[in-house]
Amino acid sequence: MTTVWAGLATGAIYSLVAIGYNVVLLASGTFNFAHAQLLMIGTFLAYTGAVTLGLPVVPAVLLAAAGVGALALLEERTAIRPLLGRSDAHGALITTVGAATILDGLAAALWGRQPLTVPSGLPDRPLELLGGTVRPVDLVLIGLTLLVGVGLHLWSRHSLIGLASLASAEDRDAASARGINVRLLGVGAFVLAGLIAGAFGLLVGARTYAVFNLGHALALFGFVAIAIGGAGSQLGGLIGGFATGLIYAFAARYVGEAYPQLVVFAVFLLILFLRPRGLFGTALERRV
Amino acid sequence: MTLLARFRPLSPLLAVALLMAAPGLGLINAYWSRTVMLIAILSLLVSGLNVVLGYAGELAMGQVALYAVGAYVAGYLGVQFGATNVLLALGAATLAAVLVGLVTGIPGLRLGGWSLAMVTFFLVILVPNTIDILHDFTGGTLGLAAAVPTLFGMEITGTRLYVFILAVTAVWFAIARNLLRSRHGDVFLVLRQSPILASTLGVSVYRLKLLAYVIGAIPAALAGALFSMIDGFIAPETFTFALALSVLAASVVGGATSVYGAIAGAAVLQIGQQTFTQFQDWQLVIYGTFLLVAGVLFNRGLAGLAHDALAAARRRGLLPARPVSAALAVPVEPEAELDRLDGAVLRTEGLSKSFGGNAALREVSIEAKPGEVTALIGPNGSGKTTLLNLICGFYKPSGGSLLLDDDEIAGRAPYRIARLGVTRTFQTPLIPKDMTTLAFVATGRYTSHRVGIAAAVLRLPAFRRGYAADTAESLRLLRWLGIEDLADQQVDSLALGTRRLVEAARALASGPRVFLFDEVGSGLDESDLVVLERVIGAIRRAGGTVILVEHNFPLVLKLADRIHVLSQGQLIASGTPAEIQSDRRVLAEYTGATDEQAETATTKGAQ
Amino acid sequence: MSSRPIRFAMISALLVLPLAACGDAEDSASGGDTYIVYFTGDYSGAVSANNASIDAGIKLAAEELNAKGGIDGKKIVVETANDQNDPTKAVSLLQQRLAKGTKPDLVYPGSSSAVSLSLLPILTRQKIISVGGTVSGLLNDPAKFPYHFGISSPGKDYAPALIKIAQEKGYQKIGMLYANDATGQSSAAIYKAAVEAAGMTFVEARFESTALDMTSQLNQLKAESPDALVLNGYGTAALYAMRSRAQIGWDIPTYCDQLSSGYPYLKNLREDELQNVNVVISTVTLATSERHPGLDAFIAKVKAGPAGKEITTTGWGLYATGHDSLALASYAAQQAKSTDPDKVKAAMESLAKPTGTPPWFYAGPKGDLVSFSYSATNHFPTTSESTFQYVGPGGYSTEGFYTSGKA
Repeated sequence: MTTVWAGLATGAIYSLVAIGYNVVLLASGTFNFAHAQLLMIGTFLAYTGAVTLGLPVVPAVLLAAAGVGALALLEERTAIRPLLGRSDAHGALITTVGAATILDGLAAALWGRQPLTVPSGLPDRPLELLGGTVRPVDLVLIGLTLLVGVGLHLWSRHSLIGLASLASAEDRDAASARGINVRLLGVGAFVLAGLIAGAFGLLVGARTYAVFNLGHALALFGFVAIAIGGAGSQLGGLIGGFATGLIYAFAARYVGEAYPQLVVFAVFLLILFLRPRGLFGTALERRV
Repeated sequence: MTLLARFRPLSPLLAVALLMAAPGLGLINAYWSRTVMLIAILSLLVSGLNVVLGYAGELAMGQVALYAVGAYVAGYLGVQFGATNVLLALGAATLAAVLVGLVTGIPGLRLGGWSLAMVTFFLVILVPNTIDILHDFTGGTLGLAAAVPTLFGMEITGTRLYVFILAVTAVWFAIARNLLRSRHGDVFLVLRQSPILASTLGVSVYRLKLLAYVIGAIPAALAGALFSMIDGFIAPETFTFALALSVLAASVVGGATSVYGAIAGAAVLQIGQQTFTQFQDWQLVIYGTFLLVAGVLFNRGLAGLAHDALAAARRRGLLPARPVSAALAVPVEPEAELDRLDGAVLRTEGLSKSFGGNAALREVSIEAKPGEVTALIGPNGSGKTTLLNLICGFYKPSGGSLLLDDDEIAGRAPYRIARLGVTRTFQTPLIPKDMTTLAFVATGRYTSHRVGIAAAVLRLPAFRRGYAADTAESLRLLRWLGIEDLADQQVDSLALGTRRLVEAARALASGPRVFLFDEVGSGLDESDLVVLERVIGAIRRAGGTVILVEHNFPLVLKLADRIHVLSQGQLIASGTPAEIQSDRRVLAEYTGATDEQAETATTKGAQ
Repeated sequence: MSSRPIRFAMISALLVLPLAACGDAEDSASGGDTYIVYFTGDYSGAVSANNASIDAGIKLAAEELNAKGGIDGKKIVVETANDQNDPTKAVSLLQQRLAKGTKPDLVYPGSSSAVSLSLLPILTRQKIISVGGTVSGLLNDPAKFPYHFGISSPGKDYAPALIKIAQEKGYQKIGMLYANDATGQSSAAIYKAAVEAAGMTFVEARFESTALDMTSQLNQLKAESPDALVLNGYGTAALYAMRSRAQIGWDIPTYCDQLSSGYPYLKNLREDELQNVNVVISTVTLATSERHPGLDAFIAKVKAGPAGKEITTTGWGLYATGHDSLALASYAAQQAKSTDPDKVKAAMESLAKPTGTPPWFYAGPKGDLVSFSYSATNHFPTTSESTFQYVGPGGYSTEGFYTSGKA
């Protein structure tokens, strides 16, 4: 059971990255390579708030959310906005990679290269739960990630803005002809993704520490989660992330010498053949 | 001018030769010659990505994995069997990469959509694991010290290696240029824009994508084999996702839809990365800013920039205008008739189609004969387009049969039906980017007058003949349609009416047997309509079979020999224009629907 | 069409031209009155703090030696390059440097074995002496790399400290958790060989460098019920391993390998998470050991320098690695009375033990903790039983000495 808890806790982080990718992907059709880095900055801002400034938990979380939200807005302005209306579709692939690299470098220059401990404000002793040990902060992380993921999923399916964003992902021109403010929606998605990443900075940092190259590993597993869950589905990203975490944990525990990466790949291929669009992927499949 | 034209292909060769001679002549030092080698290797990787991404439109990130395959195959051969011959290394690396390309491309492409991007992404992140598992062959995480490469007993190191790497790169770019600047490259661009259009040209979308992906694997493997020779040491740290992103960045910076853009992009990235190391603490920030600014500034990459600059210079008369397409051998009168077309009888018998229990088409039996125009009319949602899509093979029928000259074609893949001589136009014309009107029209002949890849790459006489015939025929058609002056314009810059004419020319270019025109008159002004009427009339007189789906009732009455009226998926009337006009049921159904239809048509237009 | 043969001939001529111009580049001579030290390392990545310490040590040694008149009468100049720990970049930068003409007299070949391995072929070809702190066994190959000498003890010299404890405590089975990368795998190979040679059983589990949690791997090892655990990993990996160990409540005696011993655990973990954890430390860096007489002055200069604040993270040992590399090369040049690479190499391979306190710090005041008794077949230093010892985790004092139990 400890393996399950470990898998769920790391899976929650992968889910958060996948959710962030999906929020932007759904609203503006852009793949934001820098999202994992936004989460990384979130952990550092949480450190700054909680340790350097000595703030209590709630203001520290708010500070990180606001900070990363602002950064995401800045990223949209500099890396995405200038590309709108371009004839080639690949520009955003490199500008968001550029933004990700800048964030890596800034974090290293501002906070140094040694990992920093982010205090969660929760008791640190592991709990015995359902026959396994788990840290309280991991439980909260798992619970809140589920809440946010399911919430976003329901919101994207049932609210006006959510539906508008689905429509705009499918066909920007058509959506804007129907009176949807596509630009505002795109900016909103970036800011929302940033706010979520920032707000989770404290919980994620309490698990991973704040370290400048955290984004690389998270980006990679965020993709894996998307691959398994299907691009453009909030529920898919959420479950894909947890599934990735669990598969890794179990492969590391029981397959041992052989490599978890290969097991994940096998699962991915299996899903690919059974459900070609990922477990829940639908929205972004190009219509033919 | 003729002298210049004759020696134009020599200028890249001259540049390569000069670069090759540079270190020997003392023009560049060891650092720069190494930088040039690394640029050459990166440009090979980028060129492979350009074929797949820039031309065929598939996001494949697996270049780095194939690069690793090339490097390790070449390294292993040398270390294990003492097979250090560089040509053997390149050959084996290419073979291995083609195999890996096939094995990964088949599942990745069979399923379409994002799956190739995802499969290839996994391929890259599995590289370190695979190297580790195969550590007996690869040296595992500790790396592999490769043997000194040789060629006919001569050690290929230092300046010789430099020349060799440049030569291989030059040969690859010659191949890539010849391939991409041929109908094959044009059809890749068609595929990128619309797989539907590609299959209408008789192209198997899946096979063409696989072809592009496998071709893209070749330079990556060459690059890997060459890389294993540079330092004589390969380790898994080289083959990372970060490198995959660098390749992508170089492709975007150079311009993904270009041949030589790969070199420019690779040079910018390589020199940039080497230069930025001196910034130490701020290196990442500066490199990131560079990527961001490059992505924002270079629309369609450096190649696009150069293209726009040249075009601007030509407009201002600073440079001589591009030579107009070769003059026609035989002048054509605008009013001349078409060549004889071998029309076929297309017949449906009780054809039905339902989507998840909703019957879209019920028991429809029609017949279209050569030398006749058969029109399908009916309100929106009556099943006209469904019927067209059934004929083209985009839908599989739920029941009934579809016969072309008594051969059952129902259920065949769209490209197979297209190859039987069934061609169509689209309600919204499907027009690719980055292509001239002439080249687009010529893609209509891609499968019917096929020139092989080998012929194109080697520029064999068969290619020259085929190319000349394609150009002549396409120009003839454009002149026939009165739009010859647009031959050298970018086809996606044309107005809607002209696009419909160009589509008709593309359809005619293959010399088809059955024409399907989908809403060909909608959105056209009077003068364009006149030309289209003339085109359809000429096809009919030439003996082609024409099926016309049209809203414009007067136009149908004027053109059609026989009219079939559909309503709610059923055939409610068939007959000559006069019969239909006097059929009260049709009139009730049709005119009663007109208001509503007009309304839906406007909302549709707004969409 | 008639011009085709002519064109063909021209193309052939063009292609032959560069081949004819081929020739091997001339070796460039060393500079006249300066002794150039070329230091390549990672100035912008994860290990750049360590790199800064080595760099500072080299520069202090250069200052010290220049005050005494330099090496063989030549003034020492230190040049640096930022290779970002990327072998390909490191080679490019070295080529760039070599293309400038004057050849470096001494190269410190990078902060990872992969970088060293890719640089050594060129250095060998150019006959440049290199002294480095990277420790892969592949580097100790005098037949292939005759001009390269190691300054730091290879990983295998750390294993006896563990075996000694294991035998004292009567362990039968040793488990090891290590990173699935070059460093982790070589460390595991060393401990496996040592443990099995001592008649004990060895079990292992590895983690990917991207892992965020190691409870699964530790549970896998725990199921084998070993008597003691060896741990490899640095930075967040070391932290995740320790925290996962505490989470599953496994307080098995745990011994860090050379790499993971260098990590300052007490800064990020609580004491109860570090129960029964031991780290292996060079005896010479312990606050309780006897000090080299020149060390206090060296440490004072380190602390006054630009990389001074890192001394509490890396200890004075890394500064000494840089310092000792140059001090050793200088000593060998003094013996050879020349900076000619072949003469220096010969002097290195038959280095007379310095009388009195050695000019380097890491061997201790008597020069017995590490000895640079290189030979024609061994270019790495040799250690004694007392060189390394296991102590409780601690941290470096403001003077850079290791103190157990103090962050």
